[in-house]
Parts: sequence; structure tokens; C-alpha cells
Amino acid sequence: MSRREGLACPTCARTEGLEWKADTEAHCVLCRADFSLIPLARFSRPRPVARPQAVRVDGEAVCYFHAANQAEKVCEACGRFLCPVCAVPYTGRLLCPPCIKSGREKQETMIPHRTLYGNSALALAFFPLLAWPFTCVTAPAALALAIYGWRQPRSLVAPGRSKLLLAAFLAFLQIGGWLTGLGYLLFAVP
Amino acid sequence: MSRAPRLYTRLTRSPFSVGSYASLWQGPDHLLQVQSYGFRELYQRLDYKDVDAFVLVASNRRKYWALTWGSLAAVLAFVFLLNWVSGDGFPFVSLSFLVLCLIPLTWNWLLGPTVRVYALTAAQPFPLLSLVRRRRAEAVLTRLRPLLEDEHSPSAPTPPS
Repeated sequence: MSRREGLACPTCARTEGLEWKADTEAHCVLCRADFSLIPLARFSRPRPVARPQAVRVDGEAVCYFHAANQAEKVCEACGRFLCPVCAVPYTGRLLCPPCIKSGREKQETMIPHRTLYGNSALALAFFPLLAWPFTCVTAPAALALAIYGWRQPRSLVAPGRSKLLLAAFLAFLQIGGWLTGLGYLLFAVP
Repeated sequence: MSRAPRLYTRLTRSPFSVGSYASLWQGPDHLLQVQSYGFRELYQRLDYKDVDAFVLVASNRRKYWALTWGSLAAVLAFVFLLNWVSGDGFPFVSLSFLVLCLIPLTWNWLLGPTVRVYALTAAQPFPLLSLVRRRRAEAVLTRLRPLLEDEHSPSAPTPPS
């Protein structure tokens, strides 16, 4: 069976309802989705499958995670011996699963998520203006968040600090407004 | 002090959606899909080596947008005509609302048919959420194709064993 014939409908994930109109055009009779396939050169080539040498050879190193498998690779981060099942090519390196898990927060190419302090601080500085009495609490909070977020890791794709600056500026204005008002009430009003 | 070079190049901007925004970025050896929820960004990576093919599934997104804006435009056109024939001068306000509604309707039509795009890997289809227009999707895939084919070629560097 060719790779194309074994393809599942990307919408309903079923293989039995596909009708191929042309080499790259198909229709799924089950979910009525029309789709086009854009195959790359290796789409039709069989993929190499990593299989461990299940027989352990005496005197040879074994996999750190599978004592029955002979070690064939070494983790580039921790140096553990690995069988081909445990040696995962990840961002250009061969790593074991625990190193992938522990390294996610350290390398830029492994980070799974980031908190956007700039957006949070800006929202905290801007939206409470609609109910301005709350700004006596939210403006200092926005300023604190902007200061805290200044040293925190930023977005991978938009790492600027302009939103933090804008939030701090807005928060300063609001705090200044409150202080001016309080000063007026305390000293100017008899 | 010189800035560190950017690791990612933007491939697509976020399509209009409610609550979250997705965008696609080209990295050195992988694609980065960013889903932003306003206060948090989630990153999904797809190695060029893992992509076998792309699938473009026709979607009804364009029809739904056309129906939404078209219905609104029809109502506003009716209001505009009513105001016009009633004879109290030319209804500029109604006309401006109608034009404001016709702009996204025309824009939606000009952007072309809509699709959902999946990158096929050995494990599962990986949805590319920010590619929603066929023309844009084909342009991005045309740009990516040589990179992917290079990664798949036997001369591409492989992790040391």
C-alpha cells in the first residue's frame, strides 16, 4: 500500500472514505471535505524506523532506561548511554527524554510558553480607566508589574519592552493624578 | 551594544479570531507556531525534518464572513434607501455605516478562498492555524518547500550518533 492510499482524512481522521479525483486532489465522502495534497519528495519514500537491538551483548553498555537494550548512542546533554528508542533527535542534538524535559526552559528553541508581562501591565494600566476610582489600586499594581516584568524573559517573537514602558508611563500618570488630587484636598481646600 | 539577531522570521500574521491569535514563524531548522492568549504565548515547533507533506482542506470561513458582513450590509442598505426616499436630505450617516460594512465584505472577497492547512508528519497532522487563505498558504508553502527539501536531502547534516 502506498503512502497516499494509507492517508487519513485530516478532518475526520478516517482512511476508508477518501476518493482521489487526481494525484493530489481528494474528497472525503464521510465528512464531505475536499482537500489538496502537496507532497514533498520524501512523502513516497519509506521512513527509517528506529529499533533497538533487543539482545543484550555481555560486556557492552546497555541503555540507561532499558536494561534489555544495547546502548548505541550517548545523550549529548547528560552523557547517558541510550538505545535508539531513547535517543531523540531534538533541535539538532541527540537527547534523552529527561534532558528534553529539563532543558525546555533553558534553550530558546525549547521554550513551551512565555508570560507576556507587557500586555498584562498595559491592560492593568489602561482598562481600569473606564472605572477610574479603581485606578488608585490598579495603577500601583500596573507599575509594579511593569518593573517586575522588565527583567523577566520576554516573548520569543516580539521581545520589545515598549508595552512595559507605556504601561509604566500610564501608571505614573494615574499615580500622579491621585497624588495631586490628594494634595489638593489636604492642603489647598480649607 | 549590538542586538542579538532574531531567531525567527514571520511567515504569517494572525487571522481574525476571538480570544486567541495564531501566527507562523520560520526558524533555523523548524517552524514555530505561536498561539497568543493576550497574557500568555504558547509555542509549538515543527522540525523541517518531520514534515512529509502539506494538506489544504477547503473551509467555509469565507462564506461565513461573507454571510455575516453581507447580512449587515443588506440591512444598512435598506436603512440607507429608506432614509433617502423619505426625502430629508442625503443620508450621509447611513451611507458611511454602509461603506464601513462594505469594506470588510469586499476585503473578505478579495482575499480569496479559505482553507485549513495541515503539515503531515509520521505521527499526526499538525494544524497550521494561521494559514487560512489559500493564496497566502500556497505562497508560504512555496517559500518553505526548498527549505524542507534541503533538510530531507541525504546531504543534510544529521545529529551525530
